[in-house]
Amino acid sequence: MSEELQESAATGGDSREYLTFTLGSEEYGIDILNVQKIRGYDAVTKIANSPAFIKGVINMRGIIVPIIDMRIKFNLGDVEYNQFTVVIILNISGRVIGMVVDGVSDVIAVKDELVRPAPEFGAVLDTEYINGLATIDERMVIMVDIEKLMSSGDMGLVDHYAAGAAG
Amino acid sequence: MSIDMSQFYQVFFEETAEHLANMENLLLNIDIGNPDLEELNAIFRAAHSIKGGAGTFGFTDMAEVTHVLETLLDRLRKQELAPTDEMIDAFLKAGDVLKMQLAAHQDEGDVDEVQVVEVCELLDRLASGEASAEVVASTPDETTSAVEPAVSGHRWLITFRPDETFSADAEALEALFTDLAAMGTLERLSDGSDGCHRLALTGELGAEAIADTFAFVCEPEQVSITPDDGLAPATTAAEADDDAFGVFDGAPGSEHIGEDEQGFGFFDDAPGSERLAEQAHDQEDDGFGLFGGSPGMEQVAEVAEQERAEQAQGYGFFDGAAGTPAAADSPAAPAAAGGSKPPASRTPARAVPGGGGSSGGNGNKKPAAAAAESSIRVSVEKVDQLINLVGELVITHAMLAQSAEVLDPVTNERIFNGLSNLERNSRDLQQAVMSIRMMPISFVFSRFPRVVRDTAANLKKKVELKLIGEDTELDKGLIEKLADPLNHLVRNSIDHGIESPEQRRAAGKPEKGEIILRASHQGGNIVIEISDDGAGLNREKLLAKAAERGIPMAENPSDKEVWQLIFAAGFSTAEKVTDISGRGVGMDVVRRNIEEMNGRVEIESEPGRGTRILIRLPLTLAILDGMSVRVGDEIFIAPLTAILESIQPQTEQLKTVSGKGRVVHVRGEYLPLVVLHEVFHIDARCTRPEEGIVVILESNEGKAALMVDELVAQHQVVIKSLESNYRKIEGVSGATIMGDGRVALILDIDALVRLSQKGA
Amino acid sequence: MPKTILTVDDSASIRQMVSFTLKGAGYTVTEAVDGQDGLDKARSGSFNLIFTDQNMPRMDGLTLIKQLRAMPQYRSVPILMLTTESSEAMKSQGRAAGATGWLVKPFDPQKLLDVVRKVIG
Repeated sequence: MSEELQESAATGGDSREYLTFTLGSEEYGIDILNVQKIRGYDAVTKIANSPAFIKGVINMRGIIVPIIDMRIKFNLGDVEYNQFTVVIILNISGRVIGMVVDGVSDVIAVKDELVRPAPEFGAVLDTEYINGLATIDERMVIMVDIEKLMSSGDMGLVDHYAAGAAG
Repeated sequence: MSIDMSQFYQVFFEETAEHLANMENLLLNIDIGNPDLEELNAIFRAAHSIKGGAGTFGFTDMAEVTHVLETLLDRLRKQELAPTDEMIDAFLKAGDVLKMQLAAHQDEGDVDEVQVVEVCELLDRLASGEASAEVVASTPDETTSAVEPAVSGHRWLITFRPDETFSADAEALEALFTDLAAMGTLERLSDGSDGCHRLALTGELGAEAIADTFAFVCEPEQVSITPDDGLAPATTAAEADDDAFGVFDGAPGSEHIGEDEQGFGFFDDAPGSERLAEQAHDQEDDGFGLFGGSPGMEQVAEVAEQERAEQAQGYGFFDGAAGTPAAADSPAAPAAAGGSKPPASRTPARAVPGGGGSSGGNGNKKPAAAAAESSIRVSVEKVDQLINLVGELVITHAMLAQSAEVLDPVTNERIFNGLSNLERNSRDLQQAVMSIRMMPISFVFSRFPRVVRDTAANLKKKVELKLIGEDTELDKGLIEKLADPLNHLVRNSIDHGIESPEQRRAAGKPEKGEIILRASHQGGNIVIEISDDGAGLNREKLLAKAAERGIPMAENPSDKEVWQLIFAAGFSTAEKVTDISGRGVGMDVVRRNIEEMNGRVEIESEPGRGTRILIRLPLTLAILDGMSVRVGDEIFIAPLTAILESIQPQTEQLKTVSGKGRVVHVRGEYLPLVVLHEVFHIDARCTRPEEGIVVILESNEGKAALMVDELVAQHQVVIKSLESNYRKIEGVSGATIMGDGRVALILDIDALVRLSQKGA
Repeated sequence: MPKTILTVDDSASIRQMVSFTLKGAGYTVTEAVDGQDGLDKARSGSFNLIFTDQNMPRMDGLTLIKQLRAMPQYRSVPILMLTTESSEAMKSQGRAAGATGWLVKPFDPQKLLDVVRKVIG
């Protein structure tokens, strides 16, 4: 089985590019097509009465973009904002959202068949938003369905009806 | 060639919507007793255009409806039928059905097929059922009728008594006979010396066609057309032989005879004669036809001949390189020219061909330059993109100006001059671009004659609608959002405002109530007024209702406060619930809609005299005049239109009132205090009102005092949506980008006041 | 030199479709919004073929055809009526007015091209 996989990897089946980033001790991968750009953390304008992980909004070339901090969302210890803080600007079905993570690691190509279904395990992310697991250079990368995650009512990024439609 | 027809859909949708609106407008203005023929024609044209476009672009459902609509309209404009109220209603319904179908094609709704069938049946009935009676009545002593079917090879006897001037005009008379001859075989049974021409016309045509020819020259009563029941003359027999040609209409037998006389065999292989035959004969195939012997046919024949020549280059008849139909150079041309001259009885006199030489001439002239269009259609997205870009430019200027503040104005004079030019130019540009989005309010107003007519009829009330200031322009986005609230308010005025004719008479008022829709510019605002001369609002009833519903009211509320009750959710004072304005559901929605446009609603009412509702709106949804205020580290923008004044309150002005929370006593009024840092949970520098600044605001909830740390500056800000990437935030209507590139939130005053009261 | 065609129709969508189709096939096309506009444009230009609708504001198609036929330069230029009615009455009126032929609406672009090629090549 594993030989088969190796072979198909060599001959090149359907593969996608993923951007990997770290959150705490875990490594996550998201479809590169959802990534608009990566930038540093700027001062945000706070939004009143919103959950703590929604840091506020920034101006990105005339567009108002909400910034969420995944580290706060998933309670990953101390949160600092300095020149190394990274924001991944996502494009989720035309909506632009900024996501603060611990760090961006790599862009990797992963063949679809190498992504195996995720068992129920103790990731910070609910399995509902996980497409599967892939092993890249001995590291386990959790493949996230970022569209589903960001559109979910859990994140509170969209009005409820929109979340329903997107989900 | 495959052409994607969908690229024309948008234009079709837009033009159809215009036609429908225009049609409705005309229908509502029609004077049943004395209809204006030009108006009927215009209505017909509108339906006709929709039909043509719908058919072409494949919207067959609309083509079908417009077809039956057009049939009835055609009879009206030809004065075969007189318009009735029932017809106008049917037309309006048909218009509604078409709108529904149009919306469905634009994916904006579904079609109720039952309605479609009903309207078509109604129109059919009106067009046919009553039609025959009408026609007989209008021409009682004539057997001719428009409904007479066309009979193949029919012989018609025509009696024509022209008036004297026409009789004397031999040329006109001859032209008429020529026209008739063009339709079939014409026999002149009398010379008309007694003032009456008796004619016989044989051909595949109906009385209608003949009557139409006469319609150009005389009154219907001057002509009578009766079928001759005797056998058709032998000339028609020849026609039947020519099936191979696909002769389409009353192609007269004389045509063939004429050709035979001239020696042009029809199946002759000679290119010239082939061409002639082509030229002389009617040709018809599916949906397309050419009139044999008509002007222009020479060229058609030339083209065909050229094609043949090109196909058979070995013959050498033509110069193979000839790209233009240079017919005069070809050996066949003289014959063609001669042969194309048809018998005088067959072709209109003015259609005598100019000979072979003239036919190719036009191809050598310069094509006419397409005249410049006076307007262009541009998608709203493009305009909005432009507005956004200009907004960016304004912000960029602000950033530059802020960076330049540290410079020495004297040594950097040129930079400062440049900056101020940039500012002026970008403001002008902004204004110019914004004006593209401006549309006259007539786009919304125009629907109300219909709304009023239908609603009043439904409620058996008499109402006249007056529209004032229809040319007042406002932002397209606002226009679209205004339609629903205005609709509600107007219906509400008819339902609850205007009394029944009996009640009005009893009150000494004219039976017919009046509703005025007025739009005007006032300062930087648009004011839209809906006023009626009805019963007015009843203070006691409203207060009783409020008590019943448990809506808290002040001890001795002002009229203004009482009137605002009608906008409370689920509030209705109508004694009986009607399906027009319902159970008061909607009035609260109306206010919310208007608030979403940064607008405000005011009500004035006088018992027995009527009610006036004023809607104040900003000119545009894109720019706002605002005051920036600071709370803690955050900057917010308050709409300038809402700000009355700002004060630094003294301790004795601040009170706590049970049930109302803290209030500020300003000029004899107790205003609820909205503490921004509490509502938004911000660490403010000033926690006590007397340390900070209190901004007195006018809101839909009444006046209120907003407490902030300090006022910063006045700006014109570009409104940005928070919802495009995030969601609605309570108490915030949008965002803008400040000179330093940071985002500032724009305060939603009405919502803030409400939020604060909820919290209190 | 491309052939020139004048299309007279009060419907913008039909005009656009006709114009687009014919321009795509290499013809030079001028649009007119009604009979009067058509007459004005015909006067100031020169055309190898004219299409006209019948029902239009200001001046209808039949009147336009009559007016054009009275002008020497349009005496023998093919004029086709675009009409939703293919009734005999309409045809005989068209013929009497001096039309060269007719084309029934609705039609598709291919049909239009076939007809134009047949008439002016």
